Parts: sequence; C-alpha cells; structure tokens
Amino acid sequence: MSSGPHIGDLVISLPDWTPYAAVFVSGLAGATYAARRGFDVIGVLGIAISTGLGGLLLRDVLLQRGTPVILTDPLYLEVAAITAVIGFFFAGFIARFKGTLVLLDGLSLGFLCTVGALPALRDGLGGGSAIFLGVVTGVGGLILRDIMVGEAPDILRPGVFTGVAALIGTVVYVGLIEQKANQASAQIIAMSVVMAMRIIGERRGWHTKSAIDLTDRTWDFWQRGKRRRASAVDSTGDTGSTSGTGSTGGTGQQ
Amino acid sequence: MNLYTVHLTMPHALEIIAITLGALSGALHATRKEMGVLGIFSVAFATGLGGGAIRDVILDDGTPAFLTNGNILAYAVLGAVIAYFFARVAARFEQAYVLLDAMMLGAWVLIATDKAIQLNLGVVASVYVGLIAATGGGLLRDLLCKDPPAVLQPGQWQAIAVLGAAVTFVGAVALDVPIIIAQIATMTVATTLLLSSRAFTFQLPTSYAVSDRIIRIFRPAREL
Repeated sequence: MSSGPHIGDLVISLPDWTPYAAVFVSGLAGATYAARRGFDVIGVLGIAISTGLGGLLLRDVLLQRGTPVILTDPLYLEVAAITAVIGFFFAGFIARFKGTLVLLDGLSLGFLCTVGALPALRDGLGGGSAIFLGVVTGVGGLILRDIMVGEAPDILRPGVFTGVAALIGTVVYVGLIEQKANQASAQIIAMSVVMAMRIIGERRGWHTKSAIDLTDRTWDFWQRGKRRRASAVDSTGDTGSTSGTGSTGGTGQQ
Repeated sequence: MNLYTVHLTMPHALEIIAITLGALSGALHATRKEMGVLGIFSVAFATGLGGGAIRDVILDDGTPAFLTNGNILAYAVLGAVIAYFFARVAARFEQAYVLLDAMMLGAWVLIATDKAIQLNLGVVASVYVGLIAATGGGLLRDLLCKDPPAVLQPGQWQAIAVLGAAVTFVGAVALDVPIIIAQIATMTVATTLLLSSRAFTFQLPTSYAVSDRIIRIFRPAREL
C-alpha cells in the first residue's frame, strides 16, 4: 500500500509461497477432519479441497473480478489435493501434534483473513466490506467443510474461538492499512494477533457464548427507572402535593 | 498443448435431457421427502440447474447460462411438472433412470469441462470444474433436503465416475484426440464406472485403516 509511518520497514513482503502454505495448512486440517469421521478417498479429497480453497473461492466469487485465482493458478488445487493425500494416509499421525496444528492454523487463518481483505481495500471498497470479505475468506473454508459434511457450521455455534479471532485479526489489519501502515507489517501483526488468540484461547479454554438475552435485564432496568421516577413523583407529592396540583391547575387556567 | 481451441459437438438434445432428468429426479426425491409444492419445485430446480449455476458462478463468466437462455429454465420446469403430477408413473421407471443418470453424469462433465477448457484454464482446474458441476446438483439437493451430501459418503462411486470421466476428457483433449471420440470415451467411462460400481458394490477404503497400517509398518515394535 502507500508509504507512511512504517512499522517495519525491513519487511518488504511475505514470500510468494505463503498463500500455498496457508492453503496447505487449512486443507490438511480439513483432510484430517474428514478422515477421522470415516470418509473414504473421495470424501477426504472433496472436503480437503473445500476447506483449503473455499475461502479464497468465496472471496473471488463475491468480488466478481474474473475467474477465481484458485482456478487460474493450478498450484492451489494441486496443493489442496496433496493435503488430501497426506491427510488420508497420516490422519492419525497428524492428530498427535495438536499444539503445532493450532499454531499453524492460527497463522494460516490470519493470513487468509488479510488476503481476503486486501483486494477489497485495493478496489476501493469500504472498511466494513473489507472486514467482511476478510472474515469470509478466513472462515469460509470451515463453513464449507461443515456444509459438505452435512452439519450446522461449527464456527457459527458457540464454541472454539476461531471466528472471533478471525474477526479481530481482520479488524486489526484493515485498521492498520487505513492508518497507512506497511502492507506486509500489517499482515504480520494481524497474523500474530490471530495466532496468539487461537493459542491462548486453546490453552485457557476460551469459548464463545450463545446469545445473551438482555430482554429481562433491559425490562428490569426500565421498570426500576419507572419506579424511581414514580417514587420521585410520590415523594414530591408527599412533601408538597398542594404545590404540584396548584402548578398543574395554574397551567390549565392559562 | 492448445487446450482452448475445443468446440463441443455434443448434440444439444443431450444437454436438454440432462437438465430435464436432473429436475425430474430432484422432484421425485423431494416427493419422497413429502415436501410441499414449493419444496418440490425448489429441489427440482436446484438439482437440475444447480450444477450449471455453480459452474457459471465459479468460472465468473458473465450471467449464468440458465438465466440468459430461457429454454433451460423451461426444461427444468418440464421435469418438475412431470414429477409433480405423475410421481407414481415417473417413479416406476427407476431402473431406467439409473442408466440415464449415469449417462447424464457424463454429459454434465462434458458441458462443464468444455467450458473450463474454453476459458483457458489448466488441466487440474478443468477437471475440478467438471467435478463440481456434475456433482453440484446432487449436492444442492441433499443440502436442501437436509441429508448429508451423498457424493462424499463412503461407498458412493458417483464422484469417482465423474473424476474418471473428467480426466478422460481433459486428457483426450490435451492429446489432440478427435473431439467426437473424446466425447464418446468420456460418456462411456462415466457410464461404465457408475454402473459397474452398482453391479459389484465395492467400497473404497476409509482413511483410518490405511493410516494405522502405515504407522504399524514404521513402528512394528510398539503397540498403538
């Protein structure tokens, strides 16, 4: 992006293979998920491709700027297919490295969020649209995965901190870019934020909550306010009822 | 390898039959789920037009074909109406549908893969688009009916048949095989794979069995 007060001038940009690495990590997560649920070769392949490339595909379809990059650049599909093969054969083995997986998952999630938000900013869409696209790119793969498996999307249910981490990471990224930060350093900061939130969330067992119903609380608050107002009126009535009626009567007479 | 100079010489009737049959089978599926009129027609449209619509949206090549060409929509309506009013008669030809369905799978692969090739996409991407378009209708149908998508379930050979057909077509085009032969070969591969899987019912291995076996090869001593 444009120059300005750079946060890290030494970092020019992330290496070219970063998108493929992100697709690899999220595709692998999808493949092991499918393998653990007892899908066969084609199921693992389909779910690995959907998880790894779903976000980028959704981004390009929403942006409507020509054929999606995952189709024009053959490496994406190949990487996703390779993750399917690895996940199919070594799912049990991979599942042992849970800590590493969370770390890599956080990094790839953060990267996908920034990659989703960037073209929106470049096309002059607003900050809100950029945040939306970033989150869609980040978590779209997970949503597609759950749809393909035939379940309600995991990310939309109360539970693991992925969606919130993606949202916060994207907001940080878009905010930094709008403050004219260096593109790559904004990207790295957003990725670190998402990764940190994923890891800390996993360690501490952070969970998102289901809807908090504020109706009763609001109602109580309102009632309490009404009661307070009523008691205030009562108290004024007690101390000087004649003056109160007198004043209203006075306005009526005028 | 000039992939992009292909022009499909497939009879137009094949496409029409594919869409009508897709809508018909979708509507029958919805009838079996005891849906209402709206449900039956929605599932019929999703099944008949879904694959093509997903293909056009993903390829991002202008307005989807079923919207620009009114005939396509009309044939989908035809299939849905037949299934809606004559469900019992239509359901009686279930065996014929299996054969027709297998052939239509090949037709879908041809239509989608050909479009991808004409947009100058690579080999892998063309196969992928063919796979999505041929299985997308069924996928949408399952999602609307709240079934787990059948394409991905273990023991289903539809995706394998589609994959084989798509690889056949793209490979034949890449090798400059005459287009008619490539088309016939594609349809044959799809039909043969699907029908033979129905006849013999093989199961592909699921993943954990393989994974455990491999770990046991590397660590024969320690028990898992």
